[in-house]
Amino acid sequence: MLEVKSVCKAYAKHTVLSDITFTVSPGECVGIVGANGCGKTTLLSILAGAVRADGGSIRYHGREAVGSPRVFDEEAAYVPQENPLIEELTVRDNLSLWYRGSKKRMAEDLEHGPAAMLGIGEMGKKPVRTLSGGMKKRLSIACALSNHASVLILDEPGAALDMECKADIRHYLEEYKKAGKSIILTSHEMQELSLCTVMYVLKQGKLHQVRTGTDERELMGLF
Amino acid sequence: MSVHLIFWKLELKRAFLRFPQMVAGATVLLFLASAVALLASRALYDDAAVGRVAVGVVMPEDDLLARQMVTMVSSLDSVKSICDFQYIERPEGLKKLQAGELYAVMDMPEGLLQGIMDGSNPSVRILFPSDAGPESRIFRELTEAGARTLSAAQAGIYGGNELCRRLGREGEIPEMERELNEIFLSYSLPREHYFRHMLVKATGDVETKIFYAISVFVLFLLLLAIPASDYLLPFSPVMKKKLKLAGIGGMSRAAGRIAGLGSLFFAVSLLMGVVAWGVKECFFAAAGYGELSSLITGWPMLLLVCLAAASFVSVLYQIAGSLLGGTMLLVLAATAQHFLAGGFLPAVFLPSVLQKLAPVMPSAILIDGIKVMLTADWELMACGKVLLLLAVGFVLTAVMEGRET
Repeated sequence: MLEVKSVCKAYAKHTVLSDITFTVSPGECVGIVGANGCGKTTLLSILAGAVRADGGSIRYHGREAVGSPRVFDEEAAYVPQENPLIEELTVRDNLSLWYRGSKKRMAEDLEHGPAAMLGIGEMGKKPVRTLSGGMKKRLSIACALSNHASVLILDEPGAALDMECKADIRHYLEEYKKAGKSIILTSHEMQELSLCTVMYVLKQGKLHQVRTGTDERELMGLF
Repeated sequence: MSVHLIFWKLELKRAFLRFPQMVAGATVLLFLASAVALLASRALYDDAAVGRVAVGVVMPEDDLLARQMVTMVSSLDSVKSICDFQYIERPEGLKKLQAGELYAVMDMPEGLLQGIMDGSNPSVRILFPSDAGPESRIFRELTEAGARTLSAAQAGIYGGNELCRRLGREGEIPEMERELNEIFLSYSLPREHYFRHMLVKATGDVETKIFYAISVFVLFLLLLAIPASDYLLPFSPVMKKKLKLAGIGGMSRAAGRIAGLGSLFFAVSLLMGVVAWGVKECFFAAAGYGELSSLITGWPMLLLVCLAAASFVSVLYQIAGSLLGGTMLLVLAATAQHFLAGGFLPAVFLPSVLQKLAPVMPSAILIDGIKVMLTADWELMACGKVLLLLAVGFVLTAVMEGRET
């Protein structure tokens, strides 16, 4: 359960987010759409703890996260648009950097956990730079989930990926949702947005809820 | 294992992935740097560059004693080996000085010898050209050394005089002075013994060849970062955000990067040291520079120097922020400050303004650190300066790496 209340953010005199309030229940997938530069990435960064909000409250399962980096670290799995990977190191090295737990548990996760489900379990010794864009995205998700968080925050997960890879990631997200965990994502692609149970448009710093299943043309008219 | 330890371990691994490129780069750099140092050394110490020092001597008329004294001085080994004295009239001497044909003109006063004997010490005026080169500086050093020797001898005579007075034996002063002069001369005349064993070098307390070897090594160490340039770039903003979320801030990232590059420098230095020692043992055993022992006992200092060099290089790449910019800045900054540090031309030969800058240049600090390693003279000041360089580099890297972008 994620409760966001009155979050705001401004860069100098430019207000990016104003009084953002919404909740995400277990098993829900919340989609946030909006024009380029409207503040989607800033909002996700704030929800993940990577950027500090100017005000407001963010509670993960009742725990206040603002001012407490540990809560963000334990409760949120953040996958930025660019892959936060160290290219020259192996898949296993990258996982070990973010992994919270014993080596044994990491080995088990590589066989049966998110890494295995995302199809990177057997690539442990491969340098990241030799992976395709899709595999890197899967690895980014696996790295983010190495803290076994219950809220997955994805910034345009399907950007620049091929159809097959997008489908695989979508399949994984569906499974994740079914397991009673929450997803917050931003996207410009309708197929990805079809996963969402709740949708918001971010416009002029404010969130406006729209019904799910709104078609692309109608959605663009709301930007 | 803590997230910091895992991160540092991965940083070390990331650094050591560049080991082969660095060894290849080291081989090329070593060749280039050796060529530069050899040329600089030859330019500085070849006869062609610093020839004999021509000095004009203006004598007072009919002062035979002064002429004898100058003849005696000019026949001293230390003077004879580099100076040519020519007796000359004052106007002609000044003309030649301005034309650059003379490096100094000594204007001898009337009654010089008597003045030295009776303690009135008339000054010998020595004129140097306004743009004094190394030859003029060398002659200046010689004259100052001569003046100090004379002062010391006079102090001995004055000491004898005072002792006689205290003992109430003023009447014996002339005899004491005569005997003291004889004894002093008997010791001081075979002074060539001192000059043969005391070598004064512009390069300080190490041999010229060793100094240039150290200088080449330090420049080589700094430029060695070029093959590992991509390792030194700041992390991407996204990566910084994620690392910060995991609790790895600018300090940890700077520590990891400096430790990684420093360890890489250390490993390549050790490898090069062992190879150099092997080559020397095989081909130049007679040269007798067996320095492997200093590598064994001085490795902590070498490691410290490598870390300090890494911190300096890290700062440069942080400032530049890009691969090409970092490499260009490294080449420019490393060579410029190496010159200012007296790495190409010993600092004593640099203009006085630049001489003041030399001790604070990173290369000068690193050179002193390597001297400590080679001489096993654990001078606290030199070690402290290397530590300070490391600390300053670390703090600057941490601040810049920790910046939000």
